[in-house]
Amino acid sequence: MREVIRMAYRKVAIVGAGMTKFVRRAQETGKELAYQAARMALDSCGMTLKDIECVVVGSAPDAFDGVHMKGEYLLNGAGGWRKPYMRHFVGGGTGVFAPIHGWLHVASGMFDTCLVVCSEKMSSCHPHPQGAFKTIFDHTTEQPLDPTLIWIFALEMNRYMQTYGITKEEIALVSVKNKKNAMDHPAAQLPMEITVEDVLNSEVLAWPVNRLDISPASDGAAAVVLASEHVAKRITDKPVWIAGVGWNLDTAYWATRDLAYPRYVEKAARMAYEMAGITDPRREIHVAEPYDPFDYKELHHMEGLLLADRGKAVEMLVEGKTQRDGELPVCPSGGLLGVGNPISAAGLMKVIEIFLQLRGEAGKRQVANEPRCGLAQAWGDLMQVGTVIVLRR
Amino acid sequence: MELEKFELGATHFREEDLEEGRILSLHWKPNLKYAWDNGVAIGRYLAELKEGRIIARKCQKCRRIMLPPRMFCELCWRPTDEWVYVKDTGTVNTFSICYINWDASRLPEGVPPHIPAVIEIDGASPGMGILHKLGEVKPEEVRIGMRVKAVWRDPAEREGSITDILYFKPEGRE
Amino acid sequence: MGLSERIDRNVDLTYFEGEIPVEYVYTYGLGLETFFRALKDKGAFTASRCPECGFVYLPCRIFCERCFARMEDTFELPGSGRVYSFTVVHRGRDGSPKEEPAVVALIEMDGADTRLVHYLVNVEPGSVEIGMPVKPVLRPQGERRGHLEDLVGFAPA
Repeated sequence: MREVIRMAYRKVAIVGAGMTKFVRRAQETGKELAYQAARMALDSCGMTLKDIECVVVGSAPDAFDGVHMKGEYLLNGAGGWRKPYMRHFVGGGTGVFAPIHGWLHVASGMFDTCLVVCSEKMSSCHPHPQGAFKTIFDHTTEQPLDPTLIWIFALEMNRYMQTYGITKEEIALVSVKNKKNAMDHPAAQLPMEITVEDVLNSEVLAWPVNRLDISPASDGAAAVVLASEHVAKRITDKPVWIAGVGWNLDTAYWATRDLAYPRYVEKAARMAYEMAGITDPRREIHVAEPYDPFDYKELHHMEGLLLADRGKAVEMLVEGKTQRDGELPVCPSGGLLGVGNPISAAGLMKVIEIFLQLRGEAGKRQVANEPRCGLAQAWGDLMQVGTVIVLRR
Repeated sequence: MELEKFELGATHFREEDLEEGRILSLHWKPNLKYAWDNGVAIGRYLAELKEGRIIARKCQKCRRIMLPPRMFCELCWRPTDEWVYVKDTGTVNTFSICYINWDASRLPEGVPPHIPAVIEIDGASPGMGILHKLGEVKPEEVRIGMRVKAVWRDPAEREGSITDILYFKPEGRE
Repeated sequence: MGLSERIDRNVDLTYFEGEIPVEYVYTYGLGLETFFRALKDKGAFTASRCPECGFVYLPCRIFCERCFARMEDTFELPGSGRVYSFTVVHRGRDGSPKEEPAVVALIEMDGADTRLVHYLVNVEPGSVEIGMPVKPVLRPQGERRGHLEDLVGFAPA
């Protein structure tokens, strides 16, 4: 069955990319942000909107922007005018699901090019974008307890720490690493040089989560251009191939899941590795961008991605193996912690980072080990979805 | 195509720019109210909570006793088979000490933090947790693995809601 | 046994009430910011023309959705137009009857390829016709605040 899957699909490459800065509040509407990113993506590979056969848009719940039918709203900024157009949403997993969705369009043979756009304008939501998440919890059996979004992360982080005996000091190293990495990212919202003490001394929001453990709410957009093999080779001499895709969701009854381990991320990763022919991810993946909306999540996801044994990702972090000059650089972009978290665009930013790293075009963020294969992963909903993409030169 | 070679979009502004009219904006409050149908399972769950009991559903095939109750088993993909009462005691699977509200504002000074927790209820299958809060306990005393018992609202004030349980407190305390 | 979520007795129907209490503060974006500032300060109608396909947008925008070109230049249009379609509204948003019926029209703007939606004022609902020429009715300058309501509506020209 797997052989059939690999043979039936055409090769698809990412040939261009674009993004806006990630900021706490952008003056632009969601449409204008989408345009800025999409236009840059087309310019980056010398294509025009006429060359694009279909458009795929990923964007977080309509409740953020206060815009009903947000996919349709964003359409003109995403270049979708009079084109086959689809919008999808899987929580924070959207940004990595977006190129997967686009990949389906091209790999199937239906289209030769696809523009993939993610745009988010969370700042419209008052009093705070977090409020839009009130009914991410079950509206009848959980929402009357007046939960806040942070509860989810705090509960998961606590269980993870307790199960493996990992300390806040160790976890804070992720925040220190990523915010420092972000100082070299031109779109970064919160680049800064901080210490573990700064993280531990920052305001406690919901123990064990402190303010500097978290990525900010952001506005921003990102876009990539996908092309089938014969088209890609005409557009660029450095196509980055989509070697593997995977996505998996777990039950909505989140209180019955093992919170210490993201099983659904593992399943998504296996799906992608199988497709890419990867049997030893720790050696075959040279650079990784797991989703890091909170610092502990980078470690949690590295384990789900099988890049570390359960409870052991922290050792790689403490030993410096995940720095840009380490054995397996993790989040060289600066991640969500440093660059920002406009829900859907954040995941796509990670895909773009791997794209640039594999082409040697990541500027000061370029990792030392000359990567030829990398992965980006996103996560979201009620701790429910894992989306994984494996890219190769 | 280094990102550094491009002029990136997105124009940042601050709250003051909006308040002082340097940036135009429009304010709207949508007034979204909902009446969510409970269905058979949650309807019974809430009705039992009003009576001071917690009820679950069992699937004969995988033998799980599920909480909150559901009329179909999502693993076996078949209807569930029977109602099962479970206890109102359990074990803390994880918890947090929370100082902020749903809208990200901070709790006022002097107001004790909320303690949300996932509690595995006795009588349901292992790992079958529900979200609730802990009370009558100091934050620093809470431990994963702690045994807790429900504190029920006065029967006259119960509404048929998860909040008919006020919170869970450490077992063995009067 | 089929999916067993059917309720047979209506006394068993229960529901749970709640709300999603968020509100929104929408920025106008770069395009509409230009348009509404000019409407507020000068009572002017600002449009933009695509340099590649020539399509004219009123209100002005920063990009052409058809060919994806950037639009940086703007120019003024008179703000007059013709009724493309209209409806007479008798009930409010919550379904209650309106004191007076309102006429809502889709107006083809002179000089532009786009249409605006707004109320028709100073007109008997029965006398509105498709194709009727209309002109904008603005609030006095002192009352304008850079909002759609700076335009009271459109009246027969």
